[in-house]
Amino acid sequence: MNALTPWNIECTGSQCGDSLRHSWLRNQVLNKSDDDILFLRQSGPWRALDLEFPLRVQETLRLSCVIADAFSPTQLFEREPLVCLPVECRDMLLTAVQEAYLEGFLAGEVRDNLRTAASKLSKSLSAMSSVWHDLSDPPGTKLLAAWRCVKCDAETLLAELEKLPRGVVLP
Amino acid sequence: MRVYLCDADELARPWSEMLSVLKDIKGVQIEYPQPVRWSEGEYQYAPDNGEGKTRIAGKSLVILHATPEIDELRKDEDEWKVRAKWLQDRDIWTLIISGAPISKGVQISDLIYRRAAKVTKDAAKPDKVFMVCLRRFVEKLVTTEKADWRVVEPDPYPPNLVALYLLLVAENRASLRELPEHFRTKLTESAMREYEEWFSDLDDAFPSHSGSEGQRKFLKKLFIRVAGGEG
Repeated sequence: MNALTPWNIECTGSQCGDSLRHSWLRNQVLNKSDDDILFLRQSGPWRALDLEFPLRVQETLRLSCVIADAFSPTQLFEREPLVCLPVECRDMLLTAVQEAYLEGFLAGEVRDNLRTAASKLSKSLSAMSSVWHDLSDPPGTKLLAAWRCVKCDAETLLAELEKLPRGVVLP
Repeated sequence: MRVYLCDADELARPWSEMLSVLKDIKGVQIEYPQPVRWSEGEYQYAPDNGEGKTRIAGKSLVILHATPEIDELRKDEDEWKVRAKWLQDRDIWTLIISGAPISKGVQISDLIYRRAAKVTKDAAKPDKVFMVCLRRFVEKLVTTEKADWRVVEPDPYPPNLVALYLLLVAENRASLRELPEHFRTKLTESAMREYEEWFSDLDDAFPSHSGSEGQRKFLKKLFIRVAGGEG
């Protein structure tokens, strides 16, 4: 995406994207080897798999729903100096800026790609969760196969998140 | 003025290598007090030249690492707080550098500032933006004898310049006669100051800054809009 993002000005979209990329996919999923997974399974339930990952998927889907607003320059109207404008004048400017921004930002395409990748990962995580508690798979063959699917889908989602702008998109 | 470069970065490269940008500043004498020792109830900085212990005192700036690669100090991640307090009590300016990706530094007191500096695995690629900011900060410190911490970590973006750009974008699409004149005047003046600050020596200051391409593109579009085009 060839968006104009000088200074990578922090916005809700960049904060959420950074967190999903760094704290979740890179440091909780993609950094785990097969041995790590087998070790974790020996230790009992994996709290992150059961509780945290589904929430992260939801977070990604929420981001996809609000993708246009998440990177919109209208967020800058809540900060100085534009926040100091009279309300009427501010609203008029904001509307014009939002229109210009939406003309150049392909929100629909970004949203669809993100949603598809998140849904796919959600399914592979569910499959992984089922196998995790399957005691008929002691060597972990099914588990590791499921884990590889998770990693593959996590890579795909990470690639989509990498395409997101790194800050407020200027029109 | 003496600048004490203590510790090393997270890859155990001493600041004396990482912060070589300070070497050419007029009026600055750089000391490399390695290693740091806790002795007689206080931290002392003992050089390895056999001339005995040198204590930091007087008008000086100390640059520390938040998590130095010194075994005796790695026991406690908050060790820097103890060291900073020790320096604070002696009225010594202190810059604490952290490798952790914190978005904005913290001014701990008039004398102490803590900021992040990017650490890369390639020693040939230090954090150039930080280097430029540090050089400017020390130059100003030597001249004014006042620590202007905004120089060591400037605002992340020029808000007035960006606001002016948005104003021009909006004006291109709608009639904005209702815009208060005093607001426009103040915004333009502030944006001009920011332009000087950010772009007057862009090539010199930020030759490899990751955002510079985007900033140049922004500037080009801004100029086109100021000139009355659509950008």
